[in-house]
Amino acid sequence: MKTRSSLLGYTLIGPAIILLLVMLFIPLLYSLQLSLQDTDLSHGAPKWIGLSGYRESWLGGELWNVSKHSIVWTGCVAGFQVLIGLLAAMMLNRKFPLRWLVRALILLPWVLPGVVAALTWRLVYDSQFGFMNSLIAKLGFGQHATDWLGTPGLAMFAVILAAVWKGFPFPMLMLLAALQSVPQEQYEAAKIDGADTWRKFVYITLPSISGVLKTVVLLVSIWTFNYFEMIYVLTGGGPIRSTHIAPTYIYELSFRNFNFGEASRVAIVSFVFILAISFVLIRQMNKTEKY
Amino acid sequence: MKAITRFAWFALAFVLILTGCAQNNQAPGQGTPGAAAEGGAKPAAAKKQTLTIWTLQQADINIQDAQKKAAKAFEEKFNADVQITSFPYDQLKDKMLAAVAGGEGPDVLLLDQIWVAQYAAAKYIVPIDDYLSKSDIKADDYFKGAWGAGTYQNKMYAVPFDVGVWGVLYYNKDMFKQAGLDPEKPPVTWSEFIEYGKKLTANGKYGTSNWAGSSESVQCMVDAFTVAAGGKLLDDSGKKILINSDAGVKALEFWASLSQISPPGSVGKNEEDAMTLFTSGQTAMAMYGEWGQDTIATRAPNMNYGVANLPKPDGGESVGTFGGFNLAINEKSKNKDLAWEFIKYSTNFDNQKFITMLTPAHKKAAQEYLKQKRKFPDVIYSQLTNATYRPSVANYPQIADIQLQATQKVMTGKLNAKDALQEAADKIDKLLNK
Repeated sequence: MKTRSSLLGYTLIGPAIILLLVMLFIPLLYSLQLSLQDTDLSHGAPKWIGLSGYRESWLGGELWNVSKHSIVWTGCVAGFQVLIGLLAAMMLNRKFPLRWLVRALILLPWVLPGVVAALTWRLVYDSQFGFMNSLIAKLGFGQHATDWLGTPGLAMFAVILAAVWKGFPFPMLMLLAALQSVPQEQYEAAKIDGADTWRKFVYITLPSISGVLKTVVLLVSIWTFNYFEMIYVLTGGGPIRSTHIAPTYIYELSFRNFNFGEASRVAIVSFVFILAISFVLIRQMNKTEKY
Repeated sequence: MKAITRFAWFALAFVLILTGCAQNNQAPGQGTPGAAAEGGAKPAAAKKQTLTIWTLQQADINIQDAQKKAAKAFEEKFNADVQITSFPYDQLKDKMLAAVAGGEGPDVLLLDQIWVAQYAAAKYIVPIDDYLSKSDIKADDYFKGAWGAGTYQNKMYAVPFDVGVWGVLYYNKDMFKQAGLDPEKPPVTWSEFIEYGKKLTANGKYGTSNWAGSSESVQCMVDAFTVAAGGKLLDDSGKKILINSDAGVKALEFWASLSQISPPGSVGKNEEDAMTLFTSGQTAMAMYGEWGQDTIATRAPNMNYGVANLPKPDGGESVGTFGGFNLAINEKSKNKDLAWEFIKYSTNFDNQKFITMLTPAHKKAAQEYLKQKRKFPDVIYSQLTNATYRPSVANYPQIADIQLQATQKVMTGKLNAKDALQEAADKIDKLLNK
């Protein structure tokens, strides 16, 4: 009996495993293999170069440059998305008139198609007619024509702001759901004990939503790390490569320069990055469950 | 632990099954087209030879029909079966490289000029010098730059099919009048261009708009100005870039100096943004490909505009940079002779008049085509005649990107033109000698 049921079990998970193998592991191993080759187009067939390709990419400086941007990008975008999402969720958790409408409207950035949102931000940042410059002028900081996407120091800031705007509704939605499941009795008890708002937040709200919060941080960080279209549409990685992050750089290497070896090296490095983020956060999540 | 081992065995078994399947599938898959082609190659058999061509999708129905008709006539003439598949540009680019690198793909390849060196370096296409010497195709019949773009390391690989040029100068005659300039006398030299531009820059309108966004077209412009100023892009060995010459520095300085007559924020713009500013009446002059006439016709049909040659340096020439497509033969093709016949057929005078999507590469056909389809045909023709071509090296896209960064560094004021180009040339030389 036992063998029959386990055979049935394997048959049932079989398709899923085949899918995983075909869609995930084989391409992964293939890019690992590609990353050990020199596929520069100046010579025909790929040459096997082992790990020295990684060394050269590192010494070339571009890989470090892109990693730095990726870290800043992921940290800032994911961090602010979750922070703003949390604040918005706490506000929307209170009762006020027309709350249902505000809750629906605030989701707009998230449901907008990515490229449409990015193209809209391109207009916002236009130095001549853009909303950003006219807003600053209206706030009383004077007329000027800042080229948000064309100035190396500002471009990163500009794409981060756009990405935060685009993505914050997701953490907000998740955290709002978590907040609504926190039992009101705890707050009442705390009130009787004389706890102020800050203490209630730290000792009741945060622990109650920490499970969801960690999942959200994990998801948002991974999505942000791989977030392609915002930067691709807004700056294409420029000016002077000041906004190139891993996905846009991989795109450029593979589909513009046809250098799949170098692209695979960057892809493998960024895979390790994501793996590291996941490990840390998944361990954290397991810890919570044990309590 | 036990579970993991069991899983590992299981996974391994699956991998074996999968690879097994793949091999089984592959064998007949690879065999079939080869076998068919071999059968067709036998001269005794009356069987038709098959010729496959991948080309660009046509928006224009007339061109589609003309291409179909031409293919039909070819089929009858050579008793062949011509299979044309068309793709949008990006797909053609990705699919063709993947297919050809895998030893397959069509017999006749339609290559963007900048792919020719890539394909030639990788030996995906065959040199056609022998075919050429036996045929009546003459290099002189085609635009010189387009012919040059078909060469790689002094061998000819791809016959020019059609061409475009970056760019010509469009100017708004009404805005010229308002600024007190003669609308029939567009600027000819660089200094005139800037001088006119300054007069046109007033009341929130600007003389022109330069750009340096994520696009290669800006490099076409700077390359063109470099050659116009008497420079060269690449030395004859193909191992040394020459953009850091005085001519190159002057060209880049000119391009960057256009910022004074451009709207603010031109670094982040691309050529389409610059053209949009022109068609919406925000700028008085624009440099754009000769097909920009279609753009103006759709967006600003009432604009009173003129077309002139690109401004030239004092004592220099007005030079543009070629774009366009060339035809080459797949190294793995079983019907190379037939493929060659097809290339000859599609690049001859009679067919060129009807089947190209851009301006024909055949000079005489181009003259007729331009007269029929374009305003200011003479201006465009002269711009095409002496246009230069982008460096014919295998990793051109990477090189263009390094050039673009140099341009951006100069336009944002990070470096002066000389240092930026020196830095870029050092990097590019390293790539060329890899």
